[in-house]
Amino acid sequence: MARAVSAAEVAPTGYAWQVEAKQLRVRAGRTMAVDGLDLRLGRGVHGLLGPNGAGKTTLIRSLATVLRPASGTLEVLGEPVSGRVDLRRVRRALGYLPQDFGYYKRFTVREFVEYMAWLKEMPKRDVPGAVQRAVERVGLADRADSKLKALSGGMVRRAGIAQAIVNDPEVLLLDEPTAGLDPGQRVRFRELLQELGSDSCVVVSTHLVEDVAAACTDVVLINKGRLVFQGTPDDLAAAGGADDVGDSPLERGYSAVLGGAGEW
Amino acid sequence: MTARWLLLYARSRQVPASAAAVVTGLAALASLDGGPHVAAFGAALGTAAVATGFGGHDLALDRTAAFGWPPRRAAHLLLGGAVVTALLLATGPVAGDAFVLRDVVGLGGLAALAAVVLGARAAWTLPVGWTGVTLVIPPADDHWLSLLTWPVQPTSTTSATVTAVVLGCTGLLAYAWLGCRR
Amino acid sequence: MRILGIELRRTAALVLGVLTVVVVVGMLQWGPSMKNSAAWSRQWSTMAEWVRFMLMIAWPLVLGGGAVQGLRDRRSGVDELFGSTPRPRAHRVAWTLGAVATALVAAYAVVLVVGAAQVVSATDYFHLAWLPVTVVGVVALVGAAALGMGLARLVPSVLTPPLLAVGGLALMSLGLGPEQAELGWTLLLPSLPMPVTVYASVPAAVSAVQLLWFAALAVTGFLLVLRRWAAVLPVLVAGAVAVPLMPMSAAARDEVAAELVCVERLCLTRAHEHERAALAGPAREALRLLAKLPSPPTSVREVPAAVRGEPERGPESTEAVWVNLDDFTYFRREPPTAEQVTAYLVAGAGTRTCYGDRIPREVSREVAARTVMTAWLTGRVEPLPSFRAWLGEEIDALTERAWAHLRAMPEADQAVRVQAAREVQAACAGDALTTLTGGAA
Repeated sequence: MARAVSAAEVAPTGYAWQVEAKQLRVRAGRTMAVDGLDLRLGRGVHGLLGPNGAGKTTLIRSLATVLRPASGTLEVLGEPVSGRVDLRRVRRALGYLPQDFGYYKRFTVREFVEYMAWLKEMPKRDVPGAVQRAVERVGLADRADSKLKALSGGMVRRAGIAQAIVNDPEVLLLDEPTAGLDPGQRVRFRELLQELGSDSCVVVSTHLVEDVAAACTDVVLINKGRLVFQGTPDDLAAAGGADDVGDSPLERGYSAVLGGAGEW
Repeated sequence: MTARWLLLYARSRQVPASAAAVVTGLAALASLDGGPHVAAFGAALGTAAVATGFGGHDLALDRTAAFGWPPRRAAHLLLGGAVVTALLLATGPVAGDAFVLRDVVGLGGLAALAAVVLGARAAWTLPVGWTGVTLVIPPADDHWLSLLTWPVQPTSTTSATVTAVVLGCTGLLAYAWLGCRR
Repeated sequence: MRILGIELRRTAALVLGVLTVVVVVGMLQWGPSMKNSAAWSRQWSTMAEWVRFMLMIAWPLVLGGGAVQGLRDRRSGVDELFGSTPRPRAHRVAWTLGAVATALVAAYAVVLVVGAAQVVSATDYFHLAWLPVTVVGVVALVGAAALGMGLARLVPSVLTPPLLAVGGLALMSLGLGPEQAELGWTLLLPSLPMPVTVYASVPAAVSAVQLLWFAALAVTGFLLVLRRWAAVLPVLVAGAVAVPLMPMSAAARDEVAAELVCVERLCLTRAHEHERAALAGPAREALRLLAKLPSPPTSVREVPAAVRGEPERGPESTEAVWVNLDDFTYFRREPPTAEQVTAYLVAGAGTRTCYGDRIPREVSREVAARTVMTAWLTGRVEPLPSFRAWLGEEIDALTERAWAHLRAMPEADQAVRVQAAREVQAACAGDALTTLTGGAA
């Protein structure tokens, strides 16, 4: 061998899918919120849809390595996520925006994003540039030095997206990222999603079917902890008939696949 | 209806937890035989605990309530002070009624002032800090310094009583009028 | 380093640091610590010990402040997000604690600089015994912050900070009593007793054990923040080691500070060598006046005693004029004039009072005798510098009678009587006024 090759260099070729789950079961409190899920996700933007309590947040949390599987296997970037494994390498390549995004209110946007970059163990010299780029991508450059407690809800959400993308993650997990964004911001956010999806695996959990239609290359529909549909938005739209509940083809497809239609 | 409102209000400001903690703390203090210092600590602890309930969880939400807050805030402070006084007299370190009353009035006012300036979370710092000062300044020192040690002066000291009343009134008015800092 | 900067700016660190400086310097500069030879602004050792004494208030406040800081993660709800990051929690906690520690160390340094700026111009006696005392104080303060953070992490309630602060104060108040020096365990408190003498220092053994103890407390706090059950180990081990090893007293006599250095018949302790310039003239003048005695003292010698020492002194040799500078409040903001110092040295024909803090009933007889002895030397009847106003009339009457009686005697007899009275007064045995007048007054 002419030169030493580090583990990080060979790693990207070590897996076929960014996320691979087999018979995954994850507990949330007392209930088994993810119950026997088989899923493979590659590059692109995956819209995670499902009714309330379907297990979307639990799935995202286990992808974020915050929750450990109760049984089954979950591999993120080719590494198993389970009890005793050192997850540092996986976590360095993760970006995560939780549903309840907690942040230090006294930090400025820039400081918080920088702090997150540090927590993600980014190389020191890359940090200032990456922070600036992340803040610019979410359109917060002019408010970068405002304290987070002084920002509106939508701006805080964007700051949350900025911290998630600061390390150019290979797997980006966004739980309800569009909550609190106004229509204009949502459009820009969808553009950002498409950009990010071109070279990483983005999982977006949402209630809004229109977000999926506009920005996702792939739709993952889960119900009661199981995968009920995976395919392109067009496939989902095709699944719906004229008599299914919904205002758009996608919504009708959603209702049709779920079977129970417009149940709450 | 009023009773229910009070109950809900009490729960929203963590009153039961505060009361339990204060009673435990006072019992621990009472087991020390420490004279005026420990009695003053008891009052500081009580008022500090009341002060942690000065702000709701969401001040912006509280502000949207459809009724006037000043009288309710004043009532909260007065009621809290009364409960603390009763607790101190019942379980607290041995001290005269007048002593306890003076210290609760003065330290309660300080806590209210601190809540206005620093916010509810840090409101304990002023009453606790000031009683702490009495540890390092001997109470029998010159006139100026004796004012600093008002929480441990004997009840016959007029300047101490005046200080406590002034602090109490200022704190009550400022807190009722302005509320907590965000 | 950038993370440290962020944490310094955005945590309670700076507030805690500033609070510490304001409280400690405020209490030291305007409190009782400025008054006598053991003032914090006069000697290196007393400076360090006074700052440690002030930990009585600063330590509980920092404990509470640390708890406020420890509640930040719970308050902000960041556990979910941070739980998905690779950096170990210990790094994060270490930098937060590092920021707080930096601020506290800086605060301690500022306090010391304020003190040292005054000490440098107040004494020539420099030694390094103040350093261990200071190091223990710094570690104790940082340990308080760590412990507060850890306990708040353990019991995440808004009530935790005030409860900890009040608990800390109550704990400190246990070290306040006069009997504390005998109770070994009070040495586990961060504060030291109020310094009362410059001729004692904290033994190195005490500082070593305290350092161990507070370092263990800091480690325990750190581990508590990480929620490791091993957190109890350091404090248990340190307690098991510190309690049996702890010496019984926080003070050991500093022989070097107390050593007398004599130049031209004025003997001062090393600690007060700086005062020689101010005292040399008055001492020479006092010895000149005392030379009128049949067997006059040959030197002025300082008594290396505590500020508030024994209630009564023992017998003292008549060969010297013994002087305790604190007896006549030499160390105050406005130093006494040369005339006042001379008057003090000559008072009682160069003897010290026999009463100390405890004033006996027959004090007016002693004061009267000392007044008459002084008057015989100077030729003027004047109230003594330590004249006690509330007994003024009684003393005046006694003085007047005795003075008249003495003046009526032949010159040689007068000298013999004064010399005898001086010996009685020096020995604190008998009644000098009787000796002076032969029992007539």
